[in-house]
Amino acid sequence: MSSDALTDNPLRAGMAGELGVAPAALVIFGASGDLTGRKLLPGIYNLARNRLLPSGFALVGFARRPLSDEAFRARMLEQVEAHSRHRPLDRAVWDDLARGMSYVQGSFGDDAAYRTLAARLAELDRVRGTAGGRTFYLAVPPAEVRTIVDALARAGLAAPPARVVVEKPFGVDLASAVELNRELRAKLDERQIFRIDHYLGKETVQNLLVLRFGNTIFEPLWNRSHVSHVELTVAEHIGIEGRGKFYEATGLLRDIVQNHALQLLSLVAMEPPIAWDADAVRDEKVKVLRALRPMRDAAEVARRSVRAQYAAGVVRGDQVSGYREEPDVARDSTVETYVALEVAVENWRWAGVPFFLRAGKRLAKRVTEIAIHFAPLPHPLFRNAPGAMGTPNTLILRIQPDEGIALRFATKIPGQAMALRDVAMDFRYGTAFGHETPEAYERLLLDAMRGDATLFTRHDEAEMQWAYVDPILHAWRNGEAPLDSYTAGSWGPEAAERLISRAGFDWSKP
Amino acid sequence: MTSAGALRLSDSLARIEAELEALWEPDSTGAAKPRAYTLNLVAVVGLDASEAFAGLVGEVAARLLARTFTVTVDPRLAPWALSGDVRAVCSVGEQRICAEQVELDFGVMAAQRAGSILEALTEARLRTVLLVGPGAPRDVVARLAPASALVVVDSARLGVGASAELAASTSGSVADLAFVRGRRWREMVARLFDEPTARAALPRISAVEITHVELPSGPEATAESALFLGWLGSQLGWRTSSGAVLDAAGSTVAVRRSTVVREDVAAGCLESVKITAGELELAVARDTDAEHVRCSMRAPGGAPAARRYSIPHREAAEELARAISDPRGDALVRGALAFAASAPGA
Repeated sequence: MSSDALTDNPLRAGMAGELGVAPAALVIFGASGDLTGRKLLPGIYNLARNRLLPSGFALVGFARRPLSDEAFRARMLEQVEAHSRHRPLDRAVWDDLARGMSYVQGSFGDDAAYRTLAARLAELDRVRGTAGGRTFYLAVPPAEVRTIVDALARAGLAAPPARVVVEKPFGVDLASAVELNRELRAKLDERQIFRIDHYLGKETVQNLLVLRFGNTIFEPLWNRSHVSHVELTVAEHIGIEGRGKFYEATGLLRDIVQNHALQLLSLVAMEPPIAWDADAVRDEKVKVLRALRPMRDAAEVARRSVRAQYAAGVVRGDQVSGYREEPDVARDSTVETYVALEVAVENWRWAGVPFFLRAGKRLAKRVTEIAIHFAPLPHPLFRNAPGAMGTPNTLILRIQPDEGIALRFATKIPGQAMALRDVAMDFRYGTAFGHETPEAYERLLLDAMRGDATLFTRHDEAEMQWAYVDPILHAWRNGEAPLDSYTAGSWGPEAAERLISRAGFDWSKP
Repeated sequence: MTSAGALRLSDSLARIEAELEALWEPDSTGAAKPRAYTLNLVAVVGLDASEAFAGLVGEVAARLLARTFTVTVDPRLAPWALSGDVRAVCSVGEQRICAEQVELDFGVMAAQRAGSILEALTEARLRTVLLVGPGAPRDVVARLAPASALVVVDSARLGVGASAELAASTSGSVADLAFVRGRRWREMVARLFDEPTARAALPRISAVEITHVELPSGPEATAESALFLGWLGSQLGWRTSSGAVLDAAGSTVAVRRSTVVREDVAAGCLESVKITAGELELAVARDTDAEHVRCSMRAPGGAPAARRYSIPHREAAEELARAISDPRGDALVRGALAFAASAPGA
């Protein structure tokens, strides 16, 4: 049964369950991993608790580690109890979910394990009413993706309407992303592939599009005539959290910038899509990525990018060690934990408007925000008034934490004199709406199961993201740009200040 | 407190406005109260119930950042009197945010001008929600409803017929707290019909049995049970004729209502719903513990497939906040109310 069939049920009209999905089994590869325990299972439990899962639902864990069904359920229960946003656990919801949970042990290329999986899924169709619906969630490293998809195809499990969710990073560079796309698309239709970037599941990221295209006042100002520059910050106060091996192989450019940061930039810079559907939205995002001016040579990379590593410092009152002192990190590592870029979007709307992007670990605080800085006054009428800074207006879109929108503007201080002060009109989601925001993974799991790819990355989008960062990676790998250092707990290296000040601006302190 | 008995309503109104203005003046240290509102909430309530109702209104106002006006009519006041009590209600969270709470007591004649008074006091740029509380004077409600973007009733108190009448006369949206209370039951039943075999049998429903927890007053139909039938009928294109319920094809649907006595569930609430559709028997029934239900489907010759779900009790403030916040459902409520009011035994 397709998701469309749900719309045939007239009793579903007007219900939150309209977001619900057709009966389906969800198979998680990498079921014993961290992502499954911390995000996926709590997300599935929360969906079940909110009755957003279909009545015919089953969950199958697939991993190498030998585990009984019972042990798998017990493990997942522990994770849900530890990480769900709804506590205490609702036992009835869990018991019902657990009854539909089972485990298949096998290596990812083992055909016998996939025959067991196929038999299990057929049994679930009968016992749990999953009606042939299948979503395969690949919570595995990139190298395992093609192995699993090949094995699914050999087992006859990859045919539509089966869906495959692929976790980031999608490849390690442009060549590997192109190759991975080619291999996946040889076995699956593009409409079956869901490349996940959990940032797109965040409410505030989605609201960025509502702010821009659901209101009339912003869009006329959203262009080179009124915007002087755009700042995009993805800052974390945490370090690499024991993921030394992963970080040494990845670095922050691949971990954060290639996906999350470029997604945010696309959403800020894109043209209005012709409709709210997967291809229309992604068409416009791809156009932005195609308009990014590539860094053509090492000199340009050195001029328009900054990479740095954190040194020991104090973060939120605690003394922390430097990156090179972290476990599993080489003492002479040149892997970056901070990136700042000056990005040029070469199109009609944004020509000449620099986008400054910075992302880093062990910065002063955890904050993701986009600051749209509007052009300065054409004529400073109040330049002699006390307090008149002449500071241009800024619209700040806060993605996390304290999701909200703030607009900064000048006002007259009440009194006989003409004195000015900047004030902020501040909108906070938590204050205005008060209720709990669903986790990004909840929304994305649901979307994948019902086949809506609007909030997922399309093949050409992933490739264009890599196409932009590849020359930077190449120059860095060849040592053609310096590696700077910054003190943990600061806002990044001096070089980043110089990058933005050359254009006549300063970084905001969020 | 504004004194009662003023001859000119505009004088009373001016005093209330002055008190509202004074409320936001900075304190002796120069600090101002941060204020924010997202809607005007006008609650009309009977004099006897006003005190008990104020707590609920205040809680919802804090949740939704509403600017609240509680309206009562007091026959003890002079006929043209308007008495107002103004205060700021502040939610103390990470940030202290305040909103006005205004109690307006009208004399019986002044109540005829309640619409004009509220027109002056409400924030015109925000949507106005009219909450019809217990014992609300109907003429005041009728005067305020046309200017409201949303009218919230509780048909368990107001009656299904009166609620349907009010809904029919209102151009804004309508929400019904009794309908909100039945939301999970409707969801459970709708989910049963997601199953392809059940979906195919949906046009062949021949019998519906609705059981509710008996009211102290006796075994008459409750708003919750009437609205459930109303929802089912209106969604499936049923109609009523000569005391019978007919499906979209004109076949009779047997409707049976029954009651149980149960102390751990509020009187009037649903206890079970059983539906015969073709050869299938589908049921949602409250479990032995009140906060769970069992959903089951039985096909001929087969064992029933049953699942257990939680159906936790929600506080009244949460129900009300949900009714106000959820923009969907107006057509559902109107359809359910209209069908319920016309159904046999309503």
